Amino acid sequence: MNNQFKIIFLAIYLIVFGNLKVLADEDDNFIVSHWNEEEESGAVRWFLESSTGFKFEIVQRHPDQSVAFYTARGFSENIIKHYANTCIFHTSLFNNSDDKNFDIDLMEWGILKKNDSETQIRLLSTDYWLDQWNKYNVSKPAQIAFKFSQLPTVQHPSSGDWFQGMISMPLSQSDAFNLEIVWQEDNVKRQVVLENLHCNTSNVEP
Amino acid sequence: MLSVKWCWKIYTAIHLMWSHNLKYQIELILKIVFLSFLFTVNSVADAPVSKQSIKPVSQIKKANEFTLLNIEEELEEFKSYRGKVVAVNFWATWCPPCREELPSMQDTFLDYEDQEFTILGVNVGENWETVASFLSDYDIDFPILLDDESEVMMDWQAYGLPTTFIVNRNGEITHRIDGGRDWNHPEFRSQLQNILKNQ
Repeated sequence: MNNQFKIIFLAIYLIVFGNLKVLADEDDNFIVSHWNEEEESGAVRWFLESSTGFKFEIVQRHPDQSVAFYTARGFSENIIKHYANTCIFHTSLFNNSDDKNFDIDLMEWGILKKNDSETQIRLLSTDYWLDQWNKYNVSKPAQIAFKFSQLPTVQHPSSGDWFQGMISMPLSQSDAFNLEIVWQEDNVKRQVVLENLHCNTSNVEP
Repeated sequence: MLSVKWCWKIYTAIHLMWSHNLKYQIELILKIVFLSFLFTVNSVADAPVSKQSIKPVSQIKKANEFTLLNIEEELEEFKSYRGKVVAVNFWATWCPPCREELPSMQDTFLDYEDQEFTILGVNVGENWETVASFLSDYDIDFPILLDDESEVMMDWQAYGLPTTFIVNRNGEITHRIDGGRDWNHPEFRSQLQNILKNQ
């Protein structure tokens, strides 16, 4: 990608608005990230899209939304609050490339808290939660609904494929953090950091 | 998305105007370009499906057999569909992209059923009452089966919902679709037509 292209968008970013970032990875692939706020819910949504067709979207999820969703699917309120009170996001992941194969393992992704940038922490896995639900004797249908409502931990989307689901992080509701996103494109590792994310609280501004 | 060619043109225009001290015009152009770009990004983000691909699997293999209750509470064997091309679609009532693609699946079923094609909607993890109540709001004619323990879905190695497998007339999985599609989209229909022609 030529430098003029980068310069134009960087200039636009600097001069006009502040909610768009243009990044380039080590191999000079273009990556655009930005955020906006959903009109109805007020939840903040972040986007990331690379020139190679990897696209990721992450939207804040309020604890009440998670409780309502899972109690309607067989969880008791007391049990699902263990999950709902972590930091939850609804996510979508797309392979918009023409012919690339992507490989994604969410356990390779890293979270860096803003007040502790030294310690990288991992997402809470679906298996971790399923172990918890087994301990609490959560019913099988409720566990199945939980499992398939999470973003699949390991995915291999081909061109045109996409996945949706929740991800959860071992953070308190007030934590702000950076999310390191990792994927492979035709066996080449890519990574980018989505900055200044935060959980869904009404008193934190984006 | 703006093409590189257009960005180069814009850059050149800005460069020329800068040299003529036309700062107001530059600012205006930058705003227009940015808003166009932002609109494009937002449009893409709001449209979950940008491609309608039906990808062939890397290795064709026999589909695992199963027997499940259908929505009429009768047992159905997957092997009874041998001789037809079958789209096996794993779904759930609470899954937004699953709900979204159902009407276009119904249209596709009606348009292609005379070509020895059918769709099997395999609901995952829900009971009969939930599924029957949900379907009362939809006009669905293709068979709906109940995989209430998600065993078939796991056995077929679907990662998420919805996932669709295309099974040929010999009972082999030839294509896989992860995520929802618009089954009425010309691009999707064209690929499906080719699959039916070649199988």
